[in-house]
Amino acid sequence: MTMVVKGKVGESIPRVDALDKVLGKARFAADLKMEGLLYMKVLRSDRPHARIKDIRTEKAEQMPGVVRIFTHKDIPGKNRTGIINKDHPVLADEKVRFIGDAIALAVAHTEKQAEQAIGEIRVEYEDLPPIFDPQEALRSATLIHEKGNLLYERDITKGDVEQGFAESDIVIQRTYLTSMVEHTYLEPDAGVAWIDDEGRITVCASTQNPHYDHHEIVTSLALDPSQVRSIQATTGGGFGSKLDVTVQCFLALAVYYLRRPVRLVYTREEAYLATAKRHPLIMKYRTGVHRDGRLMAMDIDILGDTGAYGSYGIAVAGRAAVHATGPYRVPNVLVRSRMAYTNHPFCGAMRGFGVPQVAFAHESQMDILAEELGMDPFEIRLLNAFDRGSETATGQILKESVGMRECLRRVRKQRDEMQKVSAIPGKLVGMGIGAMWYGIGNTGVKNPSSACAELDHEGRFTLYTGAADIGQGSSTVLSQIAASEMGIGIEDIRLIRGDTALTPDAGATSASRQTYISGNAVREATGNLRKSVLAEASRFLEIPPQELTMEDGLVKSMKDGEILTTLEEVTARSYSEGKQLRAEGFFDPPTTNLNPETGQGIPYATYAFACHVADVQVDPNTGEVDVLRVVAAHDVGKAVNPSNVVGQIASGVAMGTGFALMEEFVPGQTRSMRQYLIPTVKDVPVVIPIIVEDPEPTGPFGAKGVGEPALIPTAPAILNALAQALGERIYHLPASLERVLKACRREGSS
Amino acid sequence: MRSEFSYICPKSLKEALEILTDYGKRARVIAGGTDLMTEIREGKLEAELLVDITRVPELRFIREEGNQTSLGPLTTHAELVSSMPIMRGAPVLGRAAHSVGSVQIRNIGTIGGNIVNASPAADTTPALVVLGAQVVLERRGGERTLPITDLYLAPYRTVIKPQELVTKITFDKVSNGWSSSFIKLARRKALAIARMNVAVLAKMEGKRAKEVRISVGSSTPTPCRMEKAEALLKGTVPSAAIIEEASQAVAQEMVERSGVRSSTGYKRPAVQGLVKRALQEVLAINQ
Repeated sequence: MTMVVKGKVGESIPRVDALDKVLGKARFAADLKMEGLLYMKVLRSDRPHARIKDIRTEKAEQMPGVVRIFTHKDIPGKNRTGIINKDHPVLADEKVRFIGDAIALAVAHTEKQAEQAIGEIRVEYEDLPPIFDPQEALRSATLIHEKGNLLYERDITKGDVEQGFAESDIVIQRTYLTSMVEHTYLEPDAGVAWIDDEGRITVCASTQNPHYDHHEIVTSLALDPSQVRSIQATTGGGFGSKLDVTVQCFLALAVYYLRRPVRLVYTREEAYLATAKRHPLIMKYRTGVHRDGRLMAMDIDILGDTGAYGSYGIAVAGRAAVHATGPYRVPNVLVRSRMAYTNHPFCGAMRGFGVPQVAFAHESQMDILAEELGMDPFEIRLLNAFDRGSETATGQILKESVGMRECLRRVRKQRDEMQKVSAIPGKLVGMGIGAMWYGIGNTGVKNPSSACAELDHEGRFTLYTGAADIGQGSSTVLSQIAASEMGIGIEDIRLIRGDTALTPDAGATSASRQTYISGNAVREATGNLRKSVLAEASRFLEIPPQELTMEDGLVKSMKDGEILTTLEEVTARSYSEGKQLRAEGFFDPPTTNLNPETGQGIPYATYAFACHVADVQVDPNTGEVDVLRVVAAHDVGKAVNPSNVVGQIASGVAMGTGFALMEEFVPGQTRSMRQYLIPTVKDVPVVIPIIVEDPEPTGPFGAKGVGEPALIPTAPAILNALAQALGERIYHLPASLERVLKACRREGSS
Repeated sequence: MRSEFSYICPKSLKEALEILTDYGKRARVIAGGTDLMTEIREGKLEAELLVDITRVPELRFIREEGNQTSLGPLTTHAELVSSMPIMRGAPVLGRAAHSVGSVQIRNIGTIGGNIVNASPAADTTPALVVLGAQVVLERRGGERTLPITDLYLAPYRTVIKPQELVTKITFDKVSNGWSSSFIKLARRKALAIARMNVAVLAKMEGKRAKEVRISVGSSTPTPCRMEKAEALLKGTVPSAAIIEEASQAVAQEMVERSGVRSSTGYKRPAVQGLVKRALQEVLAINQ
């Protein structure tokens, strides 16, 4: 064991996987090379809505190098996937529902041969009327799915809104719109599949949830779970999109028949065409406030476009509803949140799950109210913000770790201490606030994680977790939690992650849940292992276990810190007696299902809170916006790795800047990064991060999460800053050059 | 599916011109490839032969000849940015080249390519227009020289014949008494195609503007000077009012030349704002 023990909770150590990535040693799915590797390409629909009358593959099958063509007829199991509702065919059977729907697979000796074969498959369609508007979808007699075009509705009722409005002095009503957004993760979807040494169909893919992939492969192939293995390759970002199965079932199907390794790597264009987008929402807000500034009532109607398939649409509708009020006490609330199918690309999970959209609406409402009341925008938020003991719209009492006000105060203080931004001639400047809350984990449903910790006969520690590190840092954070709990250094931890043959299920890398939920599972597993070690040591040393402690890999006396033995000695003796040192850990956050009618219940065990303040500069003649700086305070409970938290905050601000100003995916027009712009380093503001730590008693070492919260307040802050600069408000994201200039001209400024 | 074609890499200008004469329309020229590679990727390149001219030594130079600067078409944007003759004699072109794409694109993309691709949003074009650049087109056994504005027929269409190659771009130095500005307006601050761009060149004589040249990109069907605005400014003592008037004149001329389109609602006020900013910079007038 090393002498200087590094990597405990609270230390800003480098990522455990950083060196391999920097040295090019990390192997992404597209890097995997195997003997006899075959290549796959996917035929995709060029129609938004059509019945498939026939798929003719004879000619393609005769093409040079072609090994086999697959259609839905080859799928031995269930041809429907989806994490929440199963409506997404692996390969289209009766219908295609969007431009990009997968219809057939070609496997050949080279990628080019597979691509040429795809071009020779003939699909006979009968076009159906396409629907591209969620409002029209709910009225239309044309059904995209048999059960109807309404995917889901979540209502929340608290108090009596009409009474609340009657008691309000000011009532404002506005409608907010957001656009479809593409994740644009660095690594396009990719995977390789083969038969492993134990005869299992093994798929190694870029993914956020290897255990879910495993489940879908098993179901589509009608196999026993033991016949399939799913491994998470090193993954170059996901932002929610890699929670859906992409290449996994295609590859598994081919290997099921061919028993040879097959590879599928999407081009950027295919990743844009075929994978999930962020849901565009239409949000109607009616908000009532007492003249003293207290919020009295909110009536909110949300309608989202989930596109062709459900994916995470139900989760987005539910989470948007729960978070629709913002982090504020509102005695009377009525929320109706719906998701409709259309023939657009399907929308799914994306960093924030609907909360970035509703935060734009509720934070705009707060600023409009502040202006109407003549109140400072910080004051109206401080007055209404959640605190310990506050009740949410779902009737949950927030008991601990409610750092909302602290975030507001810290941001305000920081900004007051900084140099004022003064306008250069011809430009306008503005400052804006965005606040948010975010429930950690899935909404009102079970979402457990499990972990396993082990010491081998030489005292080497191994942590097993199914948690997919997609670049956000969970492997590092979970290792730090284990190191702290075990009293060993980070370099003494061997981490095995994301392999269904080796690691227990940790659930999805989503909902900012891995630090909190898997962190707890890891802490429990490691804590149990530590107890076993101390029990063994106690037996050998003949000292009661409660008088022993473990530190720096050494077993010491609790009384005087005297070193009594080492981990190696304890494990060696245990193993020599045939005793293994291995322990499990499990955590499922304490939540309740939401009442189907009233939405009342406890959807999350804990919440993260945050506040951003943005300073912007606008050219009123052209609509150009410079986001100069963002002060960002986040209550994370406890920063397990502060530099990692700062990294999340900075990346969230960057992504939020794109959401605010430029990102808009237009189906049928946006094909690649040529048309779809995300911020460059020149577009990203200076970020001043502030970490607030209001410990969460149920979290590992008090930790909650920050992955998604980092992004959520940025766009509202920028839009509020723009409203202050322009004297006019923009209600439609992104605030493009055109929308900003239009707002400038409405105001008549020049 | 990617486009398929044969590839040839001539080692001299003579050889390159021979190939272009032989193949005519069936050949396409590639240099930096920053435009052509996307066409190839999308399978849209319709040519039998790709003629890579990057190994033709005669096409890569920056020369000062008396009062003139001349450039080989293979000069990259990065070379323009770091060239003393350009930064001294034609800083407007240096700034335009600096606004192109990213470091990687500037390192490989050439000025010749930017000219012949004829994108309305090309960044170096407005700069070359205000510089009054002349473009030399060579073919086997002959050459012709055209002012840059005579090169263009429509967006992405030029008068250049398949047998011809741009071999030189020349313009007068504009150092003494001239000042210039180039501003690009885009949806983000780097790696973006211009929504609009503007180049302005002005020569002062005492307090008066002796000559002002204005060209705006992505605004007119083919690149041109904004003569009405230029005439308004010529000989005046620049003031905020005159700049406002000239900017309006540019916007008006843009609409006259392009007609009213769906983008006009944005472009008309934006071009006015952009030109105003450029004129303020060049004529040193604050609001």
